[in-house]
Amino acid sequence: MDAFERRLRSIYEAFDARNPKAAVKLATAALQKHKDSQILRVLKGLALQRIDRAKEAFEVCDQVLSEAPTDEQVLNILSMVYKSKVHQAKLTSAYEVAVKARPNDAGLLAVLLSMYTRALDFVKLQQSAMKLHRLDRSRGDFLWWIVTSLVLQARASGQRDSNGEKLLQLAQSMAAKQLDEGRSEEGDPVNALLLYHSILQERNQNREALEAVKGPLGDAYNLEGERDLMVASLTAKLGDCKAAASIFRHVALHNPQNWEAIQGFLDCVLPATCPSSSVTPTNGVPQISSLSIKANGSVGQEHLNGAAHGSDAAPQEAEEFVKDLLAAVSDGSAAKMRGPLLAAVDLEARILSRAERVSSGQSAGPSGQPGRSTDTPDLAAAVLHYFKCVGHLASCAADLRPYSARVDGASRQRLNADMHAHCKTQEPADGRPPSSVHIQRQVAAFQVQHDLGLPEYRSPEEAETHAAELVAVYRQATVLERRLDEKERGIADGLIALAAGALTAAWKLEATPRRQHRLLRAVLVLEAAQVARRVSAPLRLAAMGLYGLLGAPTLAVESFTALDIKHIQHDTLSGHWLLPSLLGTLRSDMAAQLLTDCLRMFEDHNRDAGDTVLAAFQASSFTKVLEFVRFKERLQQSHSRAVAYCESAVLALTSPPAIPESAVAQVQDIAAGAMDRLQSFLPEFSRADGQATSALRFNEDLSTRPAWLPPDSGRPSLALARWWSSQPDQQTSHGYGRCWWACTLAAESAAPEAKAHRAAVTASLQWRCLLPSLIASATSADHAAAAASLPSIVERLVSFQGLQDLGELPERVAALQKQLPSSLPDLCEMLHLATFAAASAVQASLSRPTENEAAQEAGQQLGLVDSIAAALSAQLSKELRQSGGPVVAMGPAVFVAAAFANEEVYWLAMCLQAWAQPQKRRKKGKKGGVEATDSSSSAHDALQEKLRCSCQSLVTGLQELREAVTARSIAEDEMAPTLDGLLEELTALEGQLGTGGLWAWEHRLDARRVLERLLHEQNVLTASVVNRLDHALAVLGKHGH
Amino acid sequence: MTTLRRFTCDDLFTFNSVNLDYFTETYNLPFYLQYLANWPEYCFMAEGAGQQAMGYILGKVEGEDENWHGHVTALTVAPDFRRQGLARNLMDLLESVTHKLHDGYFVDLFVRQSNSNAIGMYTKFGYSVYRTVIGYYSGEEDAYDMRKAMPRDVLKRSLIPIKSRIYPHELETD
Repeated sequence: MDAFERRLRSIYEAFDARNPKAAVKLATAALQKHKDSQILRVLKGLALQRIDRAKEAFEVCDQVLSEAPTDEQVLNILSMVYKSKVHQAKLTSAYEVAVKARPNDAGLLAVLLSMYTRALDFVKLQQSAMKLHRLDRSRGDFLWWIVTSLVLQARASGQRDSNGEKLLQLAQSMAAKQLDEGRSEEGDPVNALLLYHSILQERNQNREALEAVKGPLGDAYNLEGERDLMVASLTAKLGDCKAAASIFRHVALHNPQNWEAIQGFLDCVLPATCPSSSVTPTNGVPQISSLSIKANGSVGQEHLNGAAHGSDAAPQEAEEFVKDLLAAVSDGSAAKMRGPLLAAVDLEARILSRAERVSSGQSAGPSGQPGRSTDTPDLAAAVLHYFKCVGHLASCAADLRPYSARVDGASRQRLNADMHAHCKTQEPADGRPPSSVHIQRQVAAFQVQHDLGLPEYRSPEEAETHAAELVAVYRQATVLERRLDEKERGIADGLIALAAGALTAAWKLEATPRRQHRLLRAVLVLEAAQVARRVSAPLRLAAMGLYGLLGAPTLAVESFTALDIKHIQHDTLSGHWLLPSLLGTLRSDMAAQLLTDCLRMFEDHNRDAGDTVLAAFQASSFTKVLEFVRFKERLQQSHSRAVAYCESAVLALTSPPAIPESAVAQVQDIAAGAMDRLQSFLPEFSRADGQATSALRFNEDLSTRPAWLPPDSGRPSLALARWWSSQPDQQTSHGYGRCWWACTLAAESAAPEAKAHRAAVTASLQWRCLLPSLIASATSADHAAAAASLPSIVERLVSFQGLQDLGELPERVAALQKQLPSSLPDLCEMLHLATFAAASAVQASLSRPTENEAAQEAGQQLGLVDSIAAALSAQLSKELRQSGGPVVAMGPAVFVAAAFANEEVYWLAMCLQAWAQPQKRRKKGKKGGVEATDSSSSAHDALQEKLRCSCQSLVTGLQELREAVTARSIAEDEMAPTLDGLLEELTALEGQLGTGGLWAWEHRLDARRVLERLLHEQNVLTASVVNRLDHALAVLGKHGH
Repeated sequence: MTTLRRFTCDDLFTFNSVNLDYFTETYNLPFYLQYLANWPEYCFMAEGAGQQAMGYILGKVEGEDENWHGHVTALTVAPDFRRQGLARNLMDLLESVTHKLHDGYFVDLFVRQSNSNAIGMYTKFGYSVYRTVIGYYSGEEDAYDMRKAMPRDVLKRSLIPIKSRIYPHELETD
């Protein structure tokens, strides 16, 4: 060993001993003798980095990088120094140079391949894999890397693109050759086959796919029945439905629980017009009745209406099939009968569809929704039969939901009565207490009843009586579940959530001053049940929704935390469940934390996605590579993600000004930062022309929302207000099964309501994303530039509101004013539009101070702003003063006031401050000897006078509103008597119900504490509104007090 | 009625009916993707009518020589679909993969000592307590390491523990 090697070894030993300080010393000493040694320098760099001297470390290593090192060890150490993702491009370049110098070094090439894979650079990935394959032709796995990268390139280029087709063609021939040569033995052989099938399916090469599955390669399908189902699906796709049906039948009879096989057979014989699970026109359930190709776990769906042999004999053939299925499980348990029994229900739904299709004269089509008959006795009978057979299983109502939601006409009431009558017949004789089986059956009856949209309440008392009925069954269940772990789900927990919904309906129907007691009782019902069931999802979700509506975000967060919602659930749940409650109640700190958590999930995955793709490649899980790339894109295009970025930007814009007099300067800075951030993370939404928005994915799991809490389609901070405003129009008993959002993947379904929802939330998001640039331009001192940019942005706002042009705005405002108070949220949105329309006109006038016309236009626009702001202030003040009872959050007023104070008023105040400044400057100018012309002076003075009037009018309205909000706060010394009075009234109502009432039966419930926390939250909300009003008043140069 | 199929990334968007349950952990994304990348053959989803998530199982194959075995990482069934034999179906699938595809010696799993329901269920499926892992759950609770021998382990040697109580760091694989 020579001296150099000895020195090198001692440095490595220092690293091994975890002594980087010593390593620095040793490397520095060694470099005295070998100052050009790259390995010594990078080792010194690594050691420096480990003692937190990163800057020096990068200086040393950057120098080595600039020398284009080719030594693998040097490059490895550089990889350790530059391991952060921000240095990847630099490192990749270094390896590219090294590979160029040593093209036959497989080690270097393999590292480069990994780098391209992590970067998802599919073209370079393919080229590197090809080079590696040429270096060692015995390794077939690199060819699979190439095939996969070709598919990824084809997908990236778009399937209809001719280049994409060529890439797929090449991938197909390479994969076929590989499979022929038996090169699929790396890892699970099914991976290679599934990849091959993905390619064939993308190219619609069903015949080739069928041959491959039927051949020896098909052995790779190792799940029971998997190969047969694949063969059947492909056969059906090729148009031979008879043969396909025969295979499906065989698989289904072998395993009567195999729902895919059952559905496959029925699809071939008797295709549904609309899918069996989207049986009602208002329900956009995905199409399970169409064939599902499960290769790669993905669901490819294709209607078979044209291909099916749905002749007149078809119903008979289908009935025979169902009979055979039932016979196959005749001696089995109830759980084993689920498949065949549900097949019977599904068959009735198909027959009904067929009849409707014939009667309406409509041909079947993928989204064909023929007219509904007025009665559905056969379907109701099938549902009842299913209920009678397996009503004691917890899954009964969920299984039946797509079908029970379709039962209509007189059958609906009859089915409901028959189910409950059946429950009675099953009750134990001799007054013995019911067993869990009896209770489970009752629970199922109530759940199906709810899905039927029943009962239809005619009075608040009816709704309350129904709630009490549900609570009574729940209480029977708790007796049997005394020993159940409090963290487990009880069999009747869902009934309590339904009871809360019934009480919400009672609140709607109530017209007396005691109206709000209905909702408070809904809260107490949920709290009572949660004493014993601390983390039950139906209870917690209902409580989260209700507390949000009652302006109690801290309590909503408690439920959110109890459910431990995190990671991917930030995409599917957080945005639509919790964010509106936090933003709508001005809890900016909690909202910021939630948004940070959500965005961290997205950003972490964006950073790690390359690693996971590489891991899938290395494990030869090629179909997973395709899946992971799509998954990354889906998260990247997530609507929740876009909302999180957008609302984070808006939160920053609403930060209270450090110095109110300089608020404009502050907001200008924040707006510039927000625009950069949105440009960087949401480029699609930051395009100047505002066109590109089609790439959004809607990953929200809306099926978690109860019937009384529909998903909101607008800006999150007004969602609570919109719920309250929309209540008069909402049905009291909608029925969960009939809600368009009840099905799996509802947010992306083809239902018209889902489409409308997506369009509305997209428009809302676009609107919100414009806010930073609107604020920046509206308050800009560069009037000419602002005057040039604002009109086009305002035009987009106008189109988002469904207006043809700005000229329609006064008319729309007048119409909304006639609909007050229910139009409060919409009027708030109009103020937003009017403010920025005025901003456009004022900036134009300020940029052309001599033009009287411009000043007049600005004055007119300001007049409209004044009138909307005054109407809102006056109406909100009136609503808040008039609303009775101690709970302020029993209507939209306080939530609209919160949004109004937090945003609309704030933006307006900011604009008025910005626009008033030129006058001050002009006065200075006069003193300095700069004279303006008379006409300029006259137009400008008129505008300034108008601005002063607007300011004064706004201040007057805000001060009035401030007083009204303050008056709704409960003073500390009033809290105890208020609570005592409220509790007394609620307790008295419980007494009227008897048998323990709705919540009083739970003696461990501290109802006073619940109400106290609710009222405390309300005080926090009103204080926040006052606080925001004070900020706006301060910006306007006035103080609230 | 059930469709048993391979678990996919997209299932993460629809598994809330299963995961909104105290005893079902929602892991971070790298966790799921690691399993899907390395052991896709061990990850299954049970789906009901209307593409409802009913339950799923995630597992892996690991170990060397006679310790080569399948491992159950997560097995969960939505409350609405319990007591219908779904857990057994999912376990059967995992055991079948271990036996037929990987020729493993046994399948193992960890379960909280306090979770008597789960212990009873696994016992019914043929699993027995192999040993206790002290403080396996965040140092707060011990775990039972339960095992079931596969046909390759003819003499069922994999079920005979060397030590009946160990600490987590003594686990051969983790």
